Amino acid sequence: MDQENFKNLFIDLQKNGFWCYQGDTDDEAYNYIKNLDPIRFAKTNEIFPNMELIPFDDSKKAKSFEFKNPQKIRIKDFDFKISPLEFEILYKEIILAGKKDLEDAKHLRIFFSEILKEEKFKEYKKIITDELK
Amino acid sequence: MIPKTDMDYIEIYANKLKNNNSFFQQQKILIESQLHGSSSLFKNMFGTEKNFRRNSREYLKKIGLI
Repeated sequence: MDQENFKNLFIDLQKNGFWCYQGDTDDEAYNYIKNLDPIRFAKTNEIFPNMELIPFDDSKKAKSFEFKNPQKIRIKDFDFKISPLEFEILYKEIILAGKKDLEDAKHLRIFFSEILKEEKFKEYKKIITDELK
Repeated sequence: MIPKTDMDYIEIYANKLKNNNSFFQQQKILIESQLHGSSSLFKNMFGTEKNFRRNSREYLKKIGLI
């Protein structure tokens, strides 16, 4: 994301009642973005919940894959995109791999057991393990 | 199944949630209660506006979130 686009996004978020954990100005926060470090925003005078903005380029294979292969979700009249569930589960198990991440992954494996596809796990595992190299 | 580990409880809850959607309502109440509690706590600890941002950043650095 170039600095001008980021500035517009940052100002728009501030105008709509969000603050950035990493800095009060777009210049401060852009230092993180240009180094491909994530930043977080929360509502004014709140810490939780927050949203993470994760910059990436083509060198970040897993993030690029998630971005280019979204799964569409609809809750009532609200449409949004998430990464494929099988990808999300493997990312938690292989990359994040903390206690809570493994518990989240287990929960997702059980809850969505009827729609998860083994061939997708095999396909995505290669992409995710490449991220560790 | 008698649960012994945290993972056993995860398995039981995931199966219950899958078989009975009403548990989502219980989970939503719990999450909203936690959010409300943490919001009050942080406002008391950090103040508001500029003070809130400054004090929050110090706290977030201490716990390694930023």
